[in-house]
Amino acid sequence: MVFQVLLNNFMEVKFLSVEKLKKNNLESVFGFIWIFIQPLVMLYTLYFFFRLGLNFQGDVNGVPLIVFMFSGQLVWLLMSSCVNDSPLIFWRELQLINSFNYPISILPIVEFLAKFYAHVVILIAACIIFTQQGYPPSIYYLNFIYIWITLICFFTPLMTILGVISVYFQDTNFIVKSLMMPIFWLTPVLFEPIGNVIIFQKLFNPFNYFIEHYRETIIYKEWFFEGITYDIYMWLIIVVLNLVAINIFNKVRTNIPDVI
Amino acid sequence: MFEKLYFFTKHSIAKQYKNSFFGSFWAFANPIISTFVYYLFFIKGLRFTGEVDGVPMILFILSGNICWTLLSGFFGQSSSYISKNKANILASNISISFIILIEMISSFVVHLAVLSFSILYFYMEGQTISIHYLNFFYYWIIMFIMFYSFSYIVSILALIFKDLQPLIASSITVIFLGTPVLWVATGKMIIIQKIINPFYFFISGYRETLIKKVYFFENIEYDIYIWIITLILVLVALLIKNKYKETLYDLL
Repeated sequence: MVFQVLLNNFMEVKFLSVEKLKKNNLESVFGFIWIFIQPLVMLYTLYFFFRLGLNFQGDVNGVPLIVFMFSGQLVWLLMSSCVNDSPLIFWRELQLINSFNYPISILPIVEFLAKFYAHVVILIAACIIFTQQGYPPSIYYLNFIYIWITLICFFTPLMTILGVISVYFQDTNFIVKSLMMPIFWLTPVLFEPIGNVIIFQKLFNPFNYFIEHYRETIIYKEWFFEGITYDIYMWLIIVVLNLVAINIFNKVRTNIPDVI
Repeated sequence: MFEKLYFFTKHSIAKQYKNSFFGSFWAFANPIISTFVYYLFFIKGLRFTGEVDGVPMILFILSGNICWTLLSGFFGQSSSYISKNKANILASNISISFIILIEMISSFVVHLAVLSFSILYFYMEGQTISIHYLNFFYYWIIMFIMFYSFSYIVSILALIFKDLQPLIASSITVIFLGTPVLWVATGKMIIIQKIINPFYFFISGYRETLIKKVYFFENIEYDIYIWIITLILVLVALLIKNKYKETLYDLL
């Protein structure tokens, strides 16, 4: 689905996502700086929550706490904001959808890319913290190309599905936002899973896949194909998700402008 | 007056229920589900075990979390009370003070249900139900005066400063992690919390009532300090009320 849409509308996607990025971030008072402030505030709040609140001293299996937390949190912020905003993707572009024969299928990708650009900027800034703590960028960062492709292939259909559902069922927005809180605490963003928890996470929590790969790349220096069974399992999920998204979307694509 | 209040509160709750079934279900279930989620996070994620502060961890989290849910509801919605009910205020002659009161009572009713459920759970876990529960009335009174004034100030200011609403919304997580809901304050941290964090007063109050069984007046300096803060908030609210009496309708 992703590739089909991308190939057909490459220029529009590029143009709209850049516009969207500007709209999201450059209009507010703090402007561009806001991209950095938000994750940094979150990171340090959680850091002090662990250090002062929970009295957690030392590191996570030899990895400095801040590196461990930030490597997971970076990608979590991208994922959670994608999911949180997805129910509104069609609602927000009401004017566009109604005004002319607008290819609505590109909206999820546009939304994803706008967030993704900001993510890359934070990632580059985060490399300063990682280098300072003794984890400089390495050849393993080539992994990111693979992870990002996986990210876009996973989140575009997911956002499409959630967006379509919310057109017909307005509670979706609230439900999704409410569910993201438990998901955050139960995803290994702030802890390292062991034993049964690892298997449970791998089977039922797709967010874990991306967090794990970010940590492998930044901290543990492993190639993405070193745990190939998990990759295959994830790609099966992605294929299924894409098929579902295409099906749902084709059924309702002509209806959406009317319903909205 | 009371009839009117009763009518509008009933109406407001019914409206919420009708608009979103899941919303009303979640209002009740959220504090309970999130308690369980935090519990799993500590037990399975961080592999903590045993007791916190002398009680089973789940009771410790639950007692703080039910109070926090109510407070964060008051705090998080405070800036949007007026903008949410703009149409009502303009169309009919309902005063702003009335609207804030109704909205606060609607969240409070849900809290009462959650609290009864929690007390039942505490009882099943072997905690005795005691006369100390009368403390709650004391905390509720302060809570209402404090957050009522705060909402009044903030909801009017939010009409002028558009950034206030998103600022408050995004500060909730920071306050949540900075307040000892999921952790125990010890030593110097207790003093810091008492001075700068009014939320701590209620969280520790709930814990003292439900777990430690202490009367509210046993630590009187802290109470006096909180009452002074509350009075200042009331005064500021009155000032703001007078200042924007005439221009409020233009702001809307």
